[in-house]
Amino acid sequence: MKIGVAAVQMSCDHLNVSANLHRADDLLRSARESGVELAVLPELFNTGYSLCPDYAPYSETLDGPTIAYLRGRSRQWRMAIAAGFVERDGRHIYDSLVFCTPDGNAQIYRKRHLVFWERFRFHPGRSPLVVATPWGRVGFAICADMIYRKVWDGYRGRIDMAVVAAAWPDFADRDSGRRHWLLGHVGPLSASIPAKVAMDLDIPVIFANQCGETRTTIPVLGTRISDRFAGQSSICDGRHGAPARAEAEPALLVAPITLHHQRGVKSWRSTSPWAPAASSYDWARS
Amino acid sequence: MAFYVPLGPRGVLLRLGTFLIGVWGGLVYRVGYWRRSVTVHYPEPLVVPLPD
Repeated sequence: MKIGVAAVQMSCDHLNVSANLHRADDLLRSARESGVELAVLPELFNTGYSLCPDYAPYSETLDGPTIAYLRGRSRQWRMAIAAGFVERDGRHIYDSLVFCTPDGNAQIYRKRHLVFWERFRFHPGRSPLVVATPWGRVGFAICADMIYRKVWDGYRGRIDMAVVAAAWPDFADRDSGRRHWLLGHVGPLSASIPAKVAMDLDIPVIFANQCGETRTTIPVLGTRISDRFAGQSSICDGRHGAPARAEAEPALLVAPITLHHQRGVKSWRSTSPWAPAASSYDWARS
Repeated sequence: MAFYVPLGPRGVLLRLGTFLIGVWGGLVYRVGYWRRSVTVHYPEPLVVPLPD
């Protein structure tokens, strides 16, 4: 089975939810017009990603405005949408990803591996998320989750597609281009890890990263790097060809992926155009 | 915790730093946790009208 997917690479204004949602809406609309069935937005796409005194005023439960918007668009456009946001559960705040499906459902994945300042602002998630869809089983990760072996070992054989939302910095000074002495080699991993996972697990991987200027803050070391998000969003189709990849600028990356719905049994049903095929699926069965 | 890609000697530093930040950050997070209200109030800027 082939479906059209999109990785939305966008820059996000810090703590300007309205502006970010309008920007995302334009990109999602373009994705829908390209026949995309699954679109992935970056980590914390609605608030932007940077150290701030308190994310609580911008945190949302499942009935929050960002989730309501994403669920509405998913239903309206018959397109699954995965997107990062700040989740609220009682007093706890999570760096989370919501997966909205055209039947109105929304499932939440909470980032398990918090790095740098994130541990000061968020509570870590505890479990992976696998969602059964008409295309197969989808597994989720957020940014730094993907550098840990146990994340992918846990998903191995359990998923048919991986979705990764990120705000992965470049760790290089944006003016001089000089890489940070400790973390400079981590920036390029945003391009290499999704492709490696796709080959290793033999599944498609959709990686949506932020782009634009940022400031990476590392407590303990007392480091602040005026850098950029790495961009390099990608759609890696397992072993079915080279990844489609964005550069460092805002981009809507659209490409088909090949899904083996049941491992060992290859189903090569090609759906073109994609959108009408998506609307014919019975999401209630998933 | 093993990395999915080899990070070399700097990986050891990264792991140690992540551990220290985890301990310190966890304490700071807890202070904020107890000060935070259980209920969620969405401020006006979070109401986002979008075109159909």
